[in-house]
Amino acid sequence: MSQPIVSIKSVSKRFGSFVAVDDVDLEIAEGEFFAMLGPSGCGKTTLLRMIAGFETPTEGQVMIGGVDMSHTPPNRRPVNMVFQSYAVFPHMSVEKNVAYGLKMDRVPAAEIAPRVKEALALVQLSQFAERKPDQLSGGQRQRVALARALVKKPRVLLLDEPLSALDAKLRDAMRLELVKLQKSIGVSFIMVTHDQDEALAVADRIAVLHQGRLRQVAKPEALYQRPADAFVADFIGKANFFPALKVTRAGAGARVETKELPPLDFPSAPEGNLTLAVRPEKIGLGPEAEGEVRIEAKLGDVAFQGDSSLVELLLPSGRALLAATHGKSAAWVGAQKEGATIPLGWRVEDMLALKAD
Amino acid sequence: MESWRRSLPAFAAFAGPTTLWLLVFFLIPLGIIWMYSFGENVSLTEIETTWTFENYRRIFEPEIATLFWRTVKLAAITTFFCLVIGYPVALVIATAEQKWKPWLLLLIMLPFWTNLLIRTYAMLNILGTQGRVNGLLEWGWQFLDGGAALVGLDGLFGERFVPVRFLGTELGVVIGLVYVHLPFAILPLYSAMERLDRSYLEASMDLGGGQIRTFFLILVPLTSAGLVTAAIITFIPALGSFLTPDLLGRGQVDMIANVIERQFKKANDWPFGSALSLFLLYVTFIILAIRAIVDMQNAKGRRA
Repeated sequence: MSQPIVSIKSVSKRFGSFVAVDDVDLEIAEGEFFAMLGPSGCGKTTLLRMIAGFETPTEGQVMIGGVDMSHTPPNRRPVNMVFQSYAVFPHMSVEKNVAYGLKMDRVPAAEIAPRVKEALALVQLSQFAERKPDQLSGGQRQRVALARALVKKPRVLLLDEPLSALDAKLRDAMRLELVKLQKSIGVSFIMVTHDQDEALAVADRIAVLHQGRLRQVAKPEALYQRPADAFVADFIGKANFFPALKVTRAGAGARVETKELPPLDFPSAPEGNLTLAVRPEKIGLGPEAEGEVRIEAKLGDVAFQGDSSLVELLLPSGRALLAATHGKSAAWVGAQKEGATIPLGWRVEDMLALKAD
Repeated sequence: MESWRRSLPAFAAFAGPTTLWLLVFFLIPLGIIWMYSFGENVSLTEIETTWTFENYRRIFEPEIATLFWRTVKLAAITTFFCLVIGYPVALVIATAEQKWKPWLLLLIMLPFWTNLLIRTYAMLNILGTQGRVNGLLEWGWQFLDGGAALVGLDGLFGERFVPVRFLGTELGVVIGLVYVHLPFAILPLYSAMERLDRSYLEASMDLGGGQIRTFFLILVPLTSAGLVTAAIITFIPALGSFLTPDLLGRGQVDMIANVIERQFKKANDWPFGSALSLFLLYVTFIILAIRAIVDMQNAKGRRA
């Protein structure tokens, strides 16, 4: 990784006795689209606000562009933010909103006009320059907030749940636009979201947070294929879990016994309590199912989703598994009756031996 | 709600007592006053409504017009100081920690539960020539005078302490009026700030605005509705102040309400008193009407 534009060094933030952020280390590279993902209350927004300067860390340092800015007020930081509520000033026209930050920096008036024009063109709002915010749609207001932040040419753009207030269709379109925008201007984006699909779709790298702690930082694919622990596996995509009852260690590897599966050998396993996980699409169904793990289950509900089907499978223990199937296998499942006993199979290497919570 | 309006007996049962109360204790007396204002004294106790405009004409005689002007001036100055003092107080309360807010608001409300007369007498004690303020000033003077004597500048601050006269002056009346009306200004300002999305202020800071520019360019414009409400809610009662100018003005700083009182009592000129009262009411109506028109125009502008 090249020189990090933002580095967060052992940062903790406490509000009274509540620990919002617990000893987090992070580095965000120049030109990167970075997402901070986690359920509400995981500390991601607090972390973002510490980068923006609205909160100061209780411990640790926030470095921006190689300079310690932990105690620098927000108006002196080379970062700008797009707020969840957009916070577009209602008493100013679109143009004035975008010009506001430049005026604050005492940029000469002759320079302000062309820069505002350029910023509005960037977010395709040129024809709305004279409008007041309450004459704009939610999506347009968000573009104003984007233009207003980007016109200042920040080193990092911070986005707090930028898509959460938009309706589903607009959200999908805006995702793509954000990615295009980020690639075209090359500024680092740090986005906070609770929506894993959103993070997977836009980010170059994702940090997963839970209860103030950093669980994993990885590229979207790695996060899905190689989750660091059971929480990440559960939060990113879907997974079926089998808690370990007995673990016999042998060097780095381990033999894991669970309630519902035969004993399985893993060449490597993390410390501590283990749980095994398998993704729904790895589970083979029907007579053609392959792999070392072979069990039987009763067919539950089948949710047909066009090109694929989500299948609920009831284990003899009473627990349900989720499998995703498509093509021939989906057609075979479709022909079975609900309650029919069907064979399942998957490979041990498609399973994850994870640290349990 | 819809069905309530359709059921006449139910509607009458709920609206009836209120309507009756308003009619008997508000509209009828107001109507009588209105009739008086077009009347003349025919004997000591009898008033005949002759539909004369004489009472209204007398309002514009220099003596009364001057008093009216002073009333408006003192009410305006009072309003100005209430806003200037009240705004930061409201801001402090609005930004205080959640658990402190009810207590801070209680402190603002507390004087309301003390009789105005008692509070005004307390002000007499504070503002008198032997009062607390002058006591404090005298102590300061002694300190300065002693210091001056030390460096051989005897009498630099005057031969002896001259107390500041508050009672019987416009200054004293304004201080009293500001004290009485401050809560009226603080509460609407507080509610405007409380409703304001904090992220506007954060956005301003994020965009490079310091505290001062964020205050004047974002906070004040976005709470302007609260400022207007606070101004009106302070100005109107200040315009009708009676007790404060009566006690703190010592009869030398009369406002219009003092004149009205005199008409109904000492002067026994009820028709003129009625005309003055109604004129004050009309002024109030005009202020409220202007506000309503401005509001409507703003709403229209937003929709266009």
